[in-house]
Amino acid sequence: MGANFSSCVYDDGDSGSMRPRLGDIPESCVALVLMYLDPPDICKLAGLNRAFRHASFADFVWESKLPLNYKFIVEKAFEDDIGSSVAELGKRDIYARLCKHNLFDNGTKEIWLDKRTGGVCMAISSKALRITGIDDRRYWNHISTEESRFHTVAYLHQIWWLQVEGDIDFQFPQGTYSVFFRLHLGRSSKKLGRRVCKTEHIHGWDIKPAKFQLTTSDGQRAVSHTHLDSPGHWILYHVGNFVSKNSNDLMNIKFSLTQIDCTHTKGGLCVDSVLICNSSDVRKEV
Amino acid sequence: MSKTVKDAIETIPTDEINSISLSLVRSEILTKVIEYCKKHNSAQMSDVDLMDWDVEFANVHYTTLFDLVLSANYMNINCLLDLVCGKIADMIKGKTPGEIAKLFDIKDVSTYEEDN
Repeated sequence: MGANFSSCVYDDGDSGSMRPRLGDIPESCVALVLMYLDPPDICKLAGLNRAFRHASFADFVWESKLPLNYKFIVEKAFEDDIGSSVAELGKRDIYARLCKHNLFDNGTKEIWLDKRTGGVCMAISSKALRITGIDDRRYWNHISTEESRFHTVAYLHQIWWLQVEGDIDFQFPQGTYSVFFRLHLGRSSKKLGRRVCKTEHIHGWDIKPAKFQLTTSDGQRAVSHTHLDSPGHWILYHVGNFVSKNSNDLMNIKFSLTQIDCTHTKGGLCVDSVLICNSSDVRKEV
Repeated sequence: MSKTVKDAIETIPTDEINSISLSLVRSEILTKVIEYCKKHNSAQMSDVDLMDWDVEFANVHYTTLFDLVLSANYMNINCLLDLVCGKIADMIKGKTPGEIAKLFDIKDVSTYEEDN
C-alpha cells in the first residue's frame, strides 16, 4: 500500500526535531493511559496539562474504578443523606464521595471505598450489635469516646455470659473479605490532655479464650478462639474471611463474639465495632 | 487490524484503490506498526511469547511511544493503542507532575495538585 508521509507533529525549532510531545497526545488517548493508573495518581496528574485535566474527569475512566455494583452502594451510602442528589454527579465525583466515610442505617454503620483500590470497607457500631445484658447497667453501659469513629463504645464491667452478635445484608463486590471485632481491654479517658487507661475491671480473659464466629447466607463459616490481651490498646481481632462470588448477590453475614463459660466472670472490655474490608486492603485498615 | 484501513477498503470501490492515504503517519513509525500487525496476525507465537514480544516492542524511547499512540489512534488499531498507553502509564506511575515533566522534557507544567 502506498502512503504519503507528512509530519503532523510539533516542531520545537531548536533541534529541528519533528517528534511528538506529551501535549500532542489527544484527550481520548490520555484517558486510556489514565485507566491504567490508580485514582490518587489520576487526580495528581490532572494538573499536568489541559488534556490530562479533561481526561481525568472522563466518566469511562472512573466507571472502571468504581465497584461493579456501585449503584447499590451509592443507594446505601447516602440513604441517611436526604438532601443528597447523587444522580447528577459525574463518575469521578461519585468515586470521591464514596471514598469519604459515609454513615448509614441511622448512623450505626459506616461505608467507604479504599481510595487506591476501590475496595469496599464497612464498620458496624456497637449500637447496631445485639449484646446480651446491654440494658442492665450492672453489666454494660455505653460510653462516649473520641477513640471510636462512632463516638460511642459498649463497656463491660463484669458478666458471666458474654455474647455480642450482629449481622448485615449487603451486596459485596466480588472478592474476599476479612471480618474483625475492634476491642479494647480497659477503659481509657483523657486527663490533662494525656491518655489514661483504667484497668481495674479487667479480669477473666486469660482463663479461657473468646470465640469469634462468622457465617454467611450461602453456607460459609469461620471460627477462631483467641485470648483477649494487650490492655490499653485497640486490637482488631480477626474473626475470619468470606468470599463474595457475585457483586449482585445479596448476602447476609452474621458475626459473633462469645465467652459463655460460666465458671468465671469476665470484664473490663470495650466493644467498639465490627470491621469488614476487602482482604487485600487489610494491612492499611489494621 | 486497522479499522481506518478497513473502513477505507470498504468505502472506496475496489477498482479505484491503488493507495490508501495515511498522511499522518511517519514512515519509520508505519514500519513499526506493520511489524506489530504482522506479528499479531500470524498464528506462530503462543500467547505468552506474544506478550513477551509486546514488552520488547514497547521498550522504546518515549517519542516513539507518542508517535505510536498517535498512529494507532489515527489508524484505529485498538490493541496497539492499549499496549502503548499501558507502557506510558507504567512510565508515569507513582511519579509527581514535576518528575514527569523532567522525564518527558516538558518546559511548562502546572504545579497544582488535585485532591480526591
